[in-house]
Formats: sequence, structure tokens, C-alpha cells
Amino acid sequence: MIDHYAVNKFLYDTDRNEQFVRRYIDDPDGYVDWYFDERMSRLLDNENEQSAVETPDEATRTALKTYDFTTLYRDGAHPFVLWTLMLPVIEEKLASGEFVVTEEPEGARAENRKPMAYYRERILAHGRPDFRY
Amino acid sequence: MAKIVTMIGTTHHPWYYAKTSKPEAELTEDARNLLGWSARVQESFRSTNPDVVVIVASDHFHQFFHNNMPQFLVGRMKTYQGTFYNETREFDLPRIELGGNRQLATDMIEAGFENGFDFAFSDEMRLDHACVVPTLISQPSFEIPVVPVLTNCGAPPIPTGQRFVDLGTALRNAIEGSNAVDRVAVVVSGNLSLEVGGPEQMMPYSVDPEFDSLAMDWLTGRDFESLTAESTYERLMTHGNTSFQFLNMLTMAALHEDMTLIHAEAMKRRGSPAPCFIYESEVAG
Repeated sequence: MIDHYAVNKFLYDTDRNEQFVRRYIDDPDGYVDWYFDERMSRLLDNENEQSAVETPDEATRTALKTYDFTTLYRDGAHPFVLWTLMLPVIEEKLASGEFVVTEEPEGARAENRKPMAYYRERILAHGRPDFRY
Repeated sequence: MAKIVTMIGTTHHPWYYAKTSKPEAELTEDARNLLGWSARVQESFRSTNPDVVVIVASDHFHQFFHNNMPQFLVGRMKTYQGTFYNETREFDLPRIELGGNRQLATDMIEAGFENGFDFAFSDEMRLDHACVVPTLISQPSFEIPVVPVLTNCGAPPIPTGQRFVDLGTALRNAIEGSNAVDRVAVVVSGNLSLEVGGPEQMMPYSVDPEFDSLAMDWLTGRDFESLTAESTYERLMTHGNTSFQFLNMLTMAALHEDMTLIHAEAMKRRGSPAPCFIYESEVAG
């Protein structure tokens, strides 16, 4: 089971910072380790101070390093922040050919159609997981 | 004493600007419908001439996070800047600037304290698309100052439906008790069934058309028993993982009291329909 707060903080804090998004796309291993080793326990509104927040286990780090949003989604990561961070990742990986969309869902709306298809195909089996924790 | 002269219930569809700012020949049917809605709202603003706009909108993990989570927050700034990096990236939203009304905001907060509603407040914040898009719809010239009231519709535990009803009553009393301005528009930003980052996201049909239809009836009929009973986490999740923003519409239903219903429509779209409401008061002058 993922550590919900840690995952959601990672997603939220990364998604709102252009440089963090860039690092997460370019170097997921290095960025995820840096995030949890250096930044995770920093207070969001006072980076000089730390909290006793727990850092996540290796399985959670691996899921984030490998963009394994299926596992994160299934285990109750917040679906909104998970999608909003995975969207720029998927867009870039589709453009570079690292990710491939096998089938675009017919009728899916034009905005983000391909990233949406890639994402949807991988979460569909899990319905709407409870994201309370 | 301030008077609520118009109240709008509206979508904050994040692609509103991207869709509607295209050349006329490239506008989709959806864009034309959204522009038609904007024209109606702007006409209501013109005819009721508000001094200030109180915007009730959900935060989308921009102002709030689980490290420090208010449920209902009133902005108290003199000037607001709008939207964030991730929203310009995803939606091509423009960065905007709007005036605020610090006196009305402070009056509302203090009235809340006196009437059992302890608002959080912020003297430094930015506005996300839930405030920016309704502003683009209602006053694209950004001339009228705003007081944002941000709600937690996204980070469980989420307040009860009854609490969002109470918010409507508290806001009405707070606005009407203020001498800071004369004429107030209230813009409530929310949705019916909706999914973001879930299996029914951006599909070309409503997540739950039956709920959409019932919800419109409950809202127009002010059926607070159904509205609150159907607004639990478990019930709203069955209509999509972002249906919690429907809770803001409960605030709208509680707010309007004796105002006249001018327009109520679930605007047909390729996805879930958009709630569109206009209520006005008869005000001399």
C-alpha cells in the first residue's frame, strides 16, 4: 500500500513547479530520490524547517520512478493530482515514441486525446478507487 | 446594506478560453454554446450593475493542500492574480489580474464568526481556473473587483452537503450585513457529474445523465433533503470522482431565497452537461 500523503505531496509539489516537472521527466530516478531524501520533509511554506512526515517505501519510489500510475491510482493516490502530473509526462513520452497509444478511444474529445487514451487504458480495470486515507 | 442583485451558477470548464478565443470560423458547437452562455451572464451583469463579485469556487490543489487544509476560505486581497503554471501548460489559460474588495471580505469573515461560520482567510493567494473561467465568462474586461470564497470540494474529508447549504445562508447574511458596497453579484462555480483522472474522463457523453437531470430538479426546486442526502462522498463518487464540486451548487441553492429564476439549463456538451443558472433581484435604480 502506498503512503498517500507522501505520494500526493510529491504529485502536488512537482506539478506546480516547471523545473520539477522537467527534472521528473528527464531524470525520474534522480529526481524521485532527491525529492524523498531532501525535500519531502521540508515544510511547504517554510523550506528551512522540517516535519516528522514519513518518507515512502521502496515500492512507492519505484512506482513513481517508473511512471507506474496504474499502481498509484489503484492504491488511492489522489486522481486529480495524479492525472495532472502524469499528463505532461505522457505527452512528452508519446512525442518521443517511448510510450505508444495502441488504440484511441472512439469519441474521446480532442483535448489530450492520445495521453488520455494511454492513461485510460491503464487505469480502466480499477474503476474509481477510494482516495480517502 | 449590500444587496445581492444577481447570482450566477456556472461551469468553470478549463478549456473555456482555449475553445472560445479562436476565430469565428473555427468555433465548435461547444464553443458557440459557451459563448452564448457568457453573453447571457454578461447581460445580467450589465442590467444589474454590481459593484463587486463574490465568487464561490473550489480550490484545485493550488491554494490548499493536505498539509494545511481549510474548508472555506475568504480572500482579503486588494488585487488578485489568476492562474498557475500548470494551468497555462494544460489549458492555455491567460494570466489575469483582478481587483479585490478587502472591506467586504473582512465584513463577511466577521459576520461569519458572529453567526457560527468560522471562515479561514487569506491575505496572499492566487486564483485558479475555478475563479478565472467564471470571470472570463461573466466579466471578460475584469473591471469589477472580486471577493473569492474558496471551498474544499476535492480533498477528503470533505464537508457535508448540509455545510455547503449553511455556507449559502451564511454568505447571504454576511453580504447583506455589509455596508462596504451596495450591489453584489454572486458567481458560484461548480459542476454536475464529472470525472477527472478517472475512467470516464473526457468521454463524449455525460458520466451520469440520470444524476445530472435529478440534480437540476433538486436545485431548481430547492429540494434540500435530496440535495444533502445525495451529497455524501460515497454517493457523489458514483457520479464521477470530481462530482464533489456539485457541493458548490448547494450553496447556490441556499443563497438565492426570493430571487427570481431567469435561466436554468444543463448545457448540453459532448461530455457532462454544464450547470447554467441566473437569478436576479428586483432592485430599484
